Amino acid sequence: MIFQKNFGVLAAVALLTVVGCGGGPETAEPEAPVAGEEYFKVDPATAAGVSGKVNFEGKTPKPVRINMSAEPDCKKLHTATVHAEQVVVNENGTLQNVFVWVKSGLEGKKFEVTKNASLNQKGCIYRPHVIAMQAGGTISVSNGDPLTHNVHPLPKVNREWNKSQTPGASDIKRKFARQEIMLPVKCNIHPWMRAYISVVSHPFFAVTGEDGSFEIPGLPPGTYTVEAKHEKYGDQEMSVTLVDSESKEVDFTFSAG
Amino acid sequence: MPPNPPPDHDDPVVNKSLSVSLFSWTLILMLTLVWALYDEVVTLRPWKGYQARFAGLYAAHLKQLKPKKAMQEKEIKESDEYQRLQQQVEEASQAAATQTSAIRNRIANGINPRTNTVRPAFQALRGEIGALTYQLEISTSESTKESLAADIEGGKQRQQELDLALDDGSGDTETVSWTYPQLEAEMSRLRELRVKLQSELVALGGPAGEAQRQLDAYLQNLMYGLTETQIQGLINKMEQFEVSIKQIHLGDIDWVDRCESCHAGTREPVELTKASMGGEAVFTSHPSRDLLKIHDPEEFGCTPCHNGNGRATSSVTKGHGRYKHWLWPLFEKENIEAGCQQCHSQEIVTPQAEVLNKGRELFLNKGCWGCHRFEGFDKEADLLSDVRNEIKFRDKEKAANEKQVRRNNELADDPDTSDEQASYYNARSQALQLANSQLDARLTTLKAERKSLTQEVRKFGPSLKEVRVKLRKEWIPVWLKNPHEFRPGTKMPVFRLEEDEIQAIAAYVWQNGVEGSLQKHPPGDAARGRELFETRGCLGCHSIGEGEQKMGGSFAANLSRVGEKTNYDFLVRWIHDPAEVTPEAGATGDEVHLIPVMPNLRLTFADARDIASYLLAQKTDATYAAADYMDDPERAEEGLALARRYGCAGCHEISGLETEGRIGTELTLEGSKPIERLDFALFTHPAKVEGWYSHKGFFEQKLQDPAFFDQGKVREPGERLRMPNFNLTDDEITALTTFLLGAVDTALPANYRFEPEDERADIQRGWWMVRRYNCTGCHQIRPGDETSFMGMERYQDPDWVEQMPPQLYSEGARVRPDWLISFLSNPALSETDIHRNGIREYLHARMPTFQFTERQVRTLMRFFMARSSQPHPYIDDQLAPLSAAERTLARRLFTSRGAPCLKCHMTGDPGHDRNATAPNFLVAAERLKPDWTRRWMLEPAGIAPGTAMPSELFRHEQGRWIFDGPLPAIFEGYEGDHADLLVRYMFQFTPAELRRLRSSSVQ
Repeated sequence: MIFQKNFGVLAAVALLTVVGCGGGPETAEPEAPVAGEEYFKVDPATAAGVSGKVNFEGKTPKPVRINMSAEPDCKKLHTATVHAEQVVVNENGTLQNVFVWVKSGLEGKKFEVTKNASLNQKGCIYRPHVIAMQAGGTISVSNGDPLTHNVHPLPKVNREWNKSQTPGASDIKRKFARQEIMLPVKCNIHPWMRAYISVVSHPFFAVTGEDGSFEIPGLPPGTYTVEAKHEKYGDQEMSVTLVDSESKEVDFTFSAG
Repeated sequence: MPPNPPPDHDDPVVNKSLSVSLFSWTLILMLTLVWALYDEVVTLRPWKGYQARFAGLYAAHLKQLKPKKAMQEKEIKESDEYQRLQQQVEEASQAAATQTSAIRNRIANGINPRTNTVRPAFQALRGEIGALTYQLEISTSESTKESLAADIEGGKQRQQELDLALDDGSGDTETVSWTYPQLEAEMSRLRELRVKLQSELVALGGPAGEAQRQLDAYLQNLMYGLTETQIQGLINKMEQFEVSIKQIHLGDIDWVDRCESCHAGTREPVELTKASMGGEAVFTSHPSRDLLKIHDPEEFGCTPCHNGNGRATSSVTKGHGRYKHWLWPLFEKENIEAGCQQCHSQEIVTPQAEVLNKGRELFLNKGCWGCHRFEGFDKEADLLSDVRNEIKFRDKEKAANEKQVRRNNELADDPDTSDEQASYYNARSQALQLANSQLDARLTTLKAERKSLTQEVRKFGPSLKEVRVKLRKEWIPVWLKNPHEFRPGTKMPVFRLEEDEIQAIAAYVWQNGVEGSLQKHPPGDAARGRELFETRGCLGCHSIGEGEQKMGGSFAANLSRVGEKTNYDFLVRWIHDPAEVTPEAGATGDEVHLIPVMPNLRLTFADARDIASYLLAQKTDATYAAADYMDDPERAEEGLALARRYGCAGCHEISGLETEGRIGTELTLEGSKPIERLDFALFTHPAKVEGWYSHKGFFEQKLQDPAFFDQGKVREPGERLRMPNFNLTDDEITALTTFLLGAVDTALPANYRFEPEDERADIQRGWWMVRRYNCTGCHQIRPGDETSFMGMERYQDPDWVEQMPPQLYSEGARVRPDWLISFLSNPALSETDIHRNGIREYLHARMPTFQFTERQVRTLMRFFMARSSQPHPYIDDQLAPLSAAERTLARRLFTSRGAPCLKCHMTGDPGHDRNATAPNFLVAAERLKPDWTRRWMLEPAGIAPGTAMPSELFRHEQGRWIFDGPLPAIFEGYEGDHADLLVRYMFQFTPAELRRLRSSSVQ
């Protein structure tokens, strides 16, 4: 029995060595996995992908002004009016800050943690407004303002924390261990500040930017449910089946209703 | 010769062979013997098999566990920190090694051989001198004495030549010639030297020992459960496992429990699950080690909590007491907490007994005690009668003392009395007068208590004296018919009433309501009313909406259809001040008006009108039939008898029925009532056949359907079972059954029962208040408490999270007792500015004013203090005053960019306070305790999880806490503790200081 166990460890070490050598110079040495736990490797030869854009239809809602007059220090940092980023419609009629992810179809597979996230506080606004990271990854929060903020995520399944960050303080680095979609982050000192972090148990997710598009590459072939989630307009799901090396386009449309 | 008797040919003894029958009988006897032996050894001792299996399974489990532990231990031992500590141990022992071995060598090669040579010479001489001295003492002749004295002196002066090892341990020797005194001196010198060297050895081992302790502690800190060595120890134990009866004997009550003869894994240090023990649930560990720590089985046994027959070992059925002749069968798993109740009978909340707690809470909040007396559930009424009795008794005692004083004085003043007697009488009088002064003190306390208790006594349901003012007439019969149909989940149960009975009771109630007028109010703004209703705190107790739409608490009524039963002006009055009554419905004569449980939210009339407007719109389009019969005096007459019969006055205040008693049976000891006295009626036989002829079976059936045992009986409506149906859920039935099963006349002596008289009693008493006034509808008191707010959608929004009422986990450590008393008496903390919270003005939810009596306020204060282990009475911490320099430092830090305290904390500036999320510093000194404040600043999330106050504001460095952020330049050279400095600053905060800060922080 003990022999078998040792053999298993040996085999894992041997395998790692082979993988490590074959990875080429650009691959970073992966963290040694705990014996018995194997990461799922996507075969680059057959890897498929999903991409698309998130459209917006209907009347673009009037931007909501953020009133910083209670905080002159924040107000000073802006020359123009600041608007809340809850709904940002791009010029090409697409919707920004939509979180798109593979909601199901990857169960039972464990992926190496490669995607971390970072959040900056600049002008008393979180940038970006919506971010995403892998469970077990690290979020680093920086303070680009000449004043103190406190970073207070309000998770439901992860551990809550609330740390103040003075100007010039080093970045706050924390881990979120469990999957949790669109968990809010707030600053108690500046109540208008709001960001959303999605923590996902795999690396297949994206957030729409200024062109409203998203791309989730490197997926193993299979059938998946892809979900697009927006802070105000809720969520939409679509089912996609990907064969070897296939890349499919999936568009979502949110309407002002 | 007598004639030979004729041979008896028929005698079987002579004529027949008995071999067959003898053989058969012998065989039967043998088989019986074998059977008896088998039965004795195997059948009657099933525990032997259990133990054998246990030892095998446990050993196998341990062997599986050991390598895992070894791995874990190995990982820790390979860590840098462990290696460092281990090196420390080695270095320390090496550092001491040279000196240690030098000292050891000196002892071994110097002191030991030298002592070994000196000691025999010294002892021989001492013996000789001793013998001579004895002879001298017993000798009678002077001449012999003289010669012996000379011999002794000679012996003492005799030189002895000795070869001695030197005491430096070099191995060299010296030759000495010593007399007796010299030998004696050398012996004691050697003894002292040895002690000195040995203590040097201990001192040298000190650092190494300390390092070793650190190393062990490090390992222990990181290891979960047992170490590899400990597990090996258990494996060895299992290898030598001896199959024998395992029993606990409680000497003081001569109680024997042999449960562990089969349940052998109960107390094993390794956690055993069914899966780890080969699927045998009998071998699992006790599920709560914490409970066993408090209730050590060596002191409490097993069956005092679990029931069952602890002595029986012959079968599972016997051991568990599940047979006809055992009165205390093992509690079923779902009712297992019933065992807690018998010793914890004074409590409404017992930690770790959540099912039982729920049962008690249901008994309290479903109003069971309205009909069924249960000791402790109408405490105020019981106490009030005790207090009244004591007042009577003390009054009499006082009068008797006064009388005796008069008599003594007369006797003392009598000319016939001698001086001696007179002074005796005077002294007696004085003593009695002093005793009366003490009695006066006691009477004052008792009368204050009587006053409090008179206000605290309550009925479970609302007063019906005001029905005419409050209710829509036609609604009453509809409600009486089936309250659960109108309002699902309501506490008013469904009575088994015939249509004419409903009409009669409705008529009685209606005609006994007082006439009164209400102040007229203009309509309010329903939309604003809705917002207020949902945020002011109404939903802490009340709920609104049905099914999926339902939100709020379940303590008070669901108001979804309240618009159908009441009128606007009454609603405004009720919301504005629930204690206000129509004068006619108030106290009459000796009776007092019972104060409603609903507290006062200190709303303005405008707010009350808005909320009332919103609530009045909560209705369906149900129609109500006219009910003219309610004005018929004859129907009311019938109704009176019916109201008595169904015990309406058990829960409601009704004119004419104020002095009615309870109609139900007392339940305080219901769990130990002989089963024959539980009326199974026609179901006695079926229950026995179906296996529910037990207390549990009866309670469950009765709670499920209170009319059940009437089935098959031929009964007139007036003879039927009266208990109404509460439509309880299965969980509620289990909880109530658990509570009733535990309601027993316990056989355990007082020292087993939990009836504390110290601060734990304060906690027990406090929980009754917390349950009665539903404090936990809004506040969390224990970790895991779920408030009504936590379930509401609005409060899931990050913007509303901080709008939840404060957590009270450490309230007793946080606030001063005198402050808490004034806050609980008047949460506005002001006599004039009352439409607000006294402390957290920024909260939409408002701490209401409860009509607490002095006694209740004290009870709550002591509850919170005791829960936080606060000494009673509280003595102020004396904080060192701030020097001018320190004040400047603190002020700078307080307003620095790095520590924006005043951004969130209130400052008194209305513009700023609209967005504030924390209290004003001005009240800190009168409200808070300094030690708590310091802990709060250092680790707020540890005191109030999820708080807006950020953590890690300070870092610990070189024995002090330093603010973790950019410090103002003047802090250079400041050596003090920053948290300490800020606490002292806050506790000496003045309005002037705040004004100063406010103006400087705006810049």
